Amino acid sequence: VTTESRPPDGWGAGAGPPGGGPAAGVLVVEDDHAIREWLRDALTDEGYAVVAVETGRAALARLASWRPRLILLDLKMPDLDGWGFRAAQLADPAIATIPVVVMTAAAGAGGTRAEAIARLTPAALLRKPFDLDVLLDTVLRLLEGPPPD
Amino acid sequence: VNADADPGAATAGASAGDAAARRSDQDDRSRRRTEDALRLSEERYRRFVAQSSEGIWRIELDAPAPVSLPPDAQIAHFYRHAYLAECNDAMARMYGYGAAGELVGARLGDLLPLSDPDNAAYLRAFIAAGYRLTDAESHEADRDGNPRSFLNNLVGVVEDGHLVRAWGTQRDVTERRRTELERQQFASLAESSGEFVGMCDTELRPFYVNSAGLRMVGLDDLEQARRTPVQAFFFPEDLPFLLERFFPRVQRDGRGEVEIRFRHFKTGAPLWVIYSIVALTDESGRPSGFGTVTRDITDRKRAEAERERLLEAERAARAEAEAANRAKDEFLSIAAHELLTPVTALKGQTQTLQRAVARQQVTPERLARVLVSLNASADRLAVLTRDLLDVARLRTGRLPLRPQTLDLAAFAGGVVDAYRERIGPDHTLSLAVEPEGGVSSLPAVRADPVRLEQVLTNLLENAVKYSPAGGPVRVRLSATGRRGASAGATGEPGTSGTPGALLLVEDEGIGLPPDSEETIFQPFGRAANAEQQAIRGMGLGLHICRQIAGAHGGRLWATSPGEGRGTTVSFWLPAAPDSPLAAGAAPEPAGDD
Repeated sequence: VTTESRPPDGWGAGAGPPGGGPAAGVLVVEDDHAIREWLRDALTDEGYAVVAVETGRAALARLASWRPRLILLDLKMPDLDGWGFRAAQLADPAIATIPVVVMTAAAGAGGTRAEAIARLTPAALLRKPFDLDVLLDTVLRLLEGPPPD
Repeated sequence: VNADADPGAATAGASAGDAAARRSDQDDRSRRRTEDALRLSEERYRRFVAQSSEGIWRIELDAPAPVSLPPDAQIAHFYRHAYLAECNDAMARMYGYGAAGELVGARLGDLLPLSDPDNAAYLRAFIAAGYRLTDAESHEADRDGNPRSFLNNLVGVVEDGHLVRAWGTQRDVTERRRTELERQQFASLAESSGEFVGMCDTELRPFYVNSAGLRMVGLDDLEQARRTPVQAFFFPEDLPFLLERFFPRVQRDGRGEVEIRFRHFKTGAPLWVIYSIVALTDESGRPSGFGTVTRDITDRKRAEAERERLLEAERAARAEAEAANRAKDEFLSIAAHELLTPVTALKGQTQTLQRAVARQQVTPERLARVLVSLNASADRLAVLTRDLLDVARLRTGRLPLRPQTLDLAAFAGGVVDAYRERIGPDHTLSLAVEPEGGVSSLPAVRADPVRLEQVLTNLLENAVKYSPAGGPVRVRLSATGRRGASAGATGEPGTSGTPGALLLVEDEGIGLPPDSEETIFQPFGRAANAEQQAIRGMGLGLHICRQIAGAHGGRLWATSPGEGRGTTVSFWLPAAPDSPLAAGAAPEPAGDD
């Protein structure tokens, strides 16, 4: 299931596309329905163009025709999980450079688990549960400056 | 022999004339020839006697012994009157003298001590046999009083009813007797040993096994042992080592020792032994076989094995404890992950809603949608928390059960009817008691109704959830443990033979991939196809249901013909102890064969 949102007409106070340019695209890859709905709402409210999908495979399919500025990636997913998605992404030069934020609820994420996540070379790591401010700050920081290419 | 010429004939012709004188000359010559012949013969005899290695002797009685006397009186007479009249040097040497002259004249008692009762017996045998003995053993003494054993051939000369002399030959068998005695002593030592003592030849054929050895390996007697090659004393798998390495090494080093098993000939049981052997040689140093003193160490081995078993049990217990700890860690880690997911949504959606409210961005539609989502996350947390508590209690056996005697058909009917209200139009739900119309054949069960409802509802939920395309869900009930009972089709061992009730929940859903029939009962265990098709679930429900079934003395298991071909979950409960069917007193269904 793929849901897309466009920035609504009439931004609220303080809202608008960051940098004043066209809305930046963010791909959310998350199997949990409630979290996916939250991320879509929260980022859409900030003026991003959000596409939210449930699995790594759906994400790869979407990337074939659309290039977002950022990917928010859950790790534990059915079909193709975050690890498999990241490997496929890095193997495809057309999409390999899109920065990825990894979201994980792995408890006590230390030791071998932390090392494994580091090998995914994420642009940022968000440990669930994370606050809205942290999410928005992370996204904003990664989208500062001109888009690549 | 010329010595046989008649000397009397020569003497008779001595008084005649010329012819007679001529004859007389002839006679003289003849007599001289005869005397020469006699002298020659006597010399040959003396040389033979002197050079013989056997003792040759003549004993005379200075007063002949009347043969009419009782034997003991005759013997007493011998000791008073018999003396050695003649012997050769060989005989003198047998008594420790240098030459015959030193021994001749000795009295019978000097040679044949009266103190040895064997000697009286020897003489009695001589008398009884008519003063003739062959290969008779005498026990005599040499000049220093050392005992000597001789093997005698002797004959007595009886004249006018009296024994006048005896002569004979004797051979010194003292050394042979000593060797034999030593051998006997060794044999009795071996016999009295509690260990296996045995000897075999170079072809590994036993020729001696002591009685302790025979007992140890279960052989009846030495004869049987002699017919049994050494190889048969061992287990076949040990023979290559023994024949190719051990015996050659013993042959080379002269000895060897190994811990190995004998095989008891009667029971076939292994006997652990220390097999210690030496290579035997004959007088010329050539290998003649092997000798062994073998100690039974079965008890020691048993103790070692017992110690090893205890250590192994301890290791296993420790490994199990470690595995349980790891499983607990894993469980906690997954549980925390599962708890954090709805918490993440709750927090995030709440904060986002707050921000949207502050910006006055919230439409009523959005508010309603978010509130539904928040409520669902809270529900999920509640269910998860309840399940985790159940798992924890079931694990530690602290889930309180309040069992009642229940009619499973009626109870399941109630649960099915209630659940039917909750399913959509794509599914149908049916309940049947088998055999047809056989409600009364189901035994009553003992179960906590709250937990029983939990299990049945969970099974129905699963059947609906894992048949996303819809379809029938069938609940079938049957009795087990009686002739004609319909269990066994789904084949969990140990249930079909025991009185009880079997409840099957069948769906036509996504089925189970091969080898996942057990996975789905593990905590957080889910079938791969359920994950792939993104069917929600934490993987705790069936784990809890199985634990609840177990707590009731029942069983829960799943079968599936394969992916996409539906799943049957079987739930078996034992008959209530007071159920008449549990005692086998139920009326048999009609047509039962």
